[in-house]
Amino acid sequence: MSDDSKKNTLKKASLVVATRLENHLKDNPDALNKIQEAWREHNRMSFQLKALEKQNDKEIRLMTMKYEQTREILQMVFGERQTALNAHYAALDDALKSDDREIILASLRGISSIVSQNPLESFSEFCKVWDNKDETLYLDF
Amino acid sequence: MKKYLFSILIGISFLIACTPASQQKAVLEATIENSPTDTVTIYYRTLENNQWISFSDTCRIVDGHFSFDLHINDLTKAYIKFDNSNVIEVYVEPKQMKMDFFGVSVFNYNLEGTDSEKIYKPLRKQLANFEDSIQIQFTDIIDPLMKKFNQNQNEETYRTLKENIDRLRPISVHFRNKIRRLKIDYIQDNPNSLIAAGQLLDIIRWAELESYPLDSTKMLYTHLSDEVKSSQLGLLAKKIIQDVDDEKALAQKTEVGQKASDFSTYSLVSGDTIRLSDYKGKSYVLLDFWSSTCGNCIKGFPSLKELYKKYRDKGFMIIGISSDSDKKRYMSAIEKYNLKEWPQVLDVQDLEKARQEIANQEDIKKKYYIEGESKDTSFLGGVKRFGKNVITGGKSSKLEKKMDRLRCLSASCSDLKENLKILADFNKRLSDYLETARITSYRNLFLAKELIFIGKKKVEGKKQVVLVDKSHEIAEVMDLKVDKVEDVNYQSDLFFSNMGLSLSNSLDKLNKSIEIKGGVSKGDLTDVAIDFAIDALFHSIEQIIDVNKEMKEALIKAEYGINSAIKYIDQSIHAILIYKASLLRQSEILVALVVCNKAFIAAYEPLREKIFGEPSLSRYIFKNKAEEDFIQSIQFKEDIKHLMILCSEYNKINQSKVIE
Repeated sequence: MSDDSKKNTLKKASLVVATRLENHLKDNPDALNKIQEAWREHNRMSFQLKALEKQNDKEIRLMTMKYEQTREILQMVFGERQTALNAHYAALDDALKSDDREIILASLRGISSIVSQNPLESFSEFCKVWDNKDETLYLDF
Repeated sequence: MKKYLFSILIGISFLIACTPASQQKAVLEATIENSPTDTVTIYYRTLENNQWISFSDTCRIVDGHFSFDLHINDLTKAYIKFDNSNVIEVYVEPKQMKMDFFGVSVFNYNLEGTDSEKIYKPLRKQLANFEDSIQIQFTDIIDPLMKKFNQNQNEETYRTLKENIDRLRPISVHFRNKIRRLKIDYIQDNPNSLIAAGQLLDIIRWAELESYPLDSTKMLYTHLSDEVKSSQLGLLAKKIIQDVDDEKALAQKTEVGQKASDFSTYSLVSGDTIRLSDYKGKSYVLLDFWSSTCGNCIKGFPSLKELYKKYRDKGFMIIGISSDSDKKRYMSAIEKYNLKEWPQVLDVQDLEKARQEIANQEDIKKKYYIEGESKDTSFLGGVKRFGKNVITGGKSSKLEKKMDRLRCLSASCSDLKENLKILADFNKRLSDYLETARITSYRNLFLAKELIFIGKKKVEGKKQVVLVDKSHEIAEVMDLKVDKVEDVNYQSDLFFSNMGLSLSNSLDKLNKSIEIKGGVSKGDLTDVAIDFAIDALFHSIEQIIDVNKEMKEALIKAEYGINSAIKYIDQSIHAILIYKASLLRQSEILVALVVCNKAFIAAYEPLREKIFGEPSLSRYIFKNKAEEDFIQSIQFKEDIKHLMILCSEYNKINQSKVIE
């Protein structure tokens, strides 16, 4: 078969298919509408899905950041207090052994001054402010 | 214009000239004549962000040329090794360097492009003389004998080789000592030279390998100037000395007769934490160091089992410590030789790595990264999944991942829920302890008041009450409700039934054509085929649209599920942090009260003894007088004053609230 005859056959076949397709669409007018509707629905859902994915990623990032920060604050606050308290405990132990009343009272004063200050007061305040986006975070430094 | 261009060029050249050396790329280009091998390796260590990083790079030698890009930012000592050769020491800098080797000799080469080479070269030449003397012995005598032995391995060739090696060893040691002496002299004579710090690295290495006294090596380090000590080579020398010291201290700790150091390690077999101190009450604890590749260890297992069976009731215990790095082989060896009778752990050094590996692989896969129970893992299932994935443009695979993620998050939520319960329980128990401690303190303070009343009849004070802490209010964690998402199935039945209908319509058309025309022409067949194809195309499009829509809906549902899981985790984490804070605060007050109580008893008890001591006849007769005298004494007033101040602090601690 020559190239021209091949081209002609292909043209004829394309024409037949196109005519049939046109007829099919004429016979079933809903088919095209259905495809168009599906395409619109697809776009709407894609948009919704993307928005949801973004929101979830953002929430995970925020949650991780908030958790790490509050955990660090807790560790730092209690770590510092523990170090100071341990020093007082050691001093009190030595003073009790040597019955040094001055040091006993001094270390007890130190312990009570640390323990009577509640670190959670500021921590819960911090948590409240941190959780509420509209609340102002005052920095006193 | 030309004038401007000239100025710009000058500016650029100036900028290039001003670029700091540390930003320059370090490249070592080298040539070698008659290389014994095709490859060459370089080793060095550099300090980056306070971390020592070891680099090792191998490259191919092409036509006697090779080149290394080095990751260095300061003068660094590098070691170059051609296969089976001695290591060649070279000082490299962050510059473009050119190196020529004349055979493989440790100190015999030519290096251009560094400032340090000018300082090192004279020493290197002296070292090369001694090194050559050692090398000649080997190339002239040992190498031919070795060749002979390799060709004909028998007793005679072996004996000749060994005799010659033994004969030459003292000569080799002599020259090595000379090299060592030369290096030590150089360090002592040049405390301000960075090369001296580099030479010290070798001295430390030899001290470790050949048991030279380390103290004299430390003296050499202290002899270096502060500037050299703070250089990268100086810091490396310090680190290696510290490492050698630590190793020696560890070796001393484990000497016979020393108390065994406690260790705490996680067992991959049982999932428990194993501590040596947990077996303190046992008569004998045998630490069995083994590995799955150690034949003798494996041979010994039956005897160990027999021993364990015989003496375990008498307090004999075994802890197996394996040095296996291949976790799979380790676990299968435990199964194969049935070694679960006694605790099994991995060598502590490898444990963290193995634990992480296990956490990454097994825990996540088995516990969290769970695939759906209904997932068809057969070949056909795989093909179906592939088809579905193609039809939906990859959404099917995305949905599967999302479903896995949702399952993983659901499992995490369940774990968090359990953890919250445990924490709440801990919190309650600690609150109970604290309350008991507060009541005890309140009673003690009341007793102290009674004692103080004796000395002073009129006393006024604020009425104290036992502080009962409100239990911590935990932000209410919502109920665990993470919706499951079902996979979308491709409804092939519907597609095929539609196609069946189309086929029957096509056949009807053909039948009609036969009835009317009495036969089927080529054109009729083509028409029917085209109609059938168009039908198939539209049905397929419909199916694809439906599947895609369902897939999207499932994806959105999964995303909503993930969102509610995230919210649950967020609230749980918040609650856990509040519990943690509460636990820390409660334990802080509890410990302070316990310590304070100790001080109270020390102050109160002697006074109580004196005033309310055991009743006796003499006490009954002389009570009033003696008591009154004591109560009037300065000592009593001092004691009471001390007790009062102490009680005041004690009370402050007792009144400290967990939450305001």
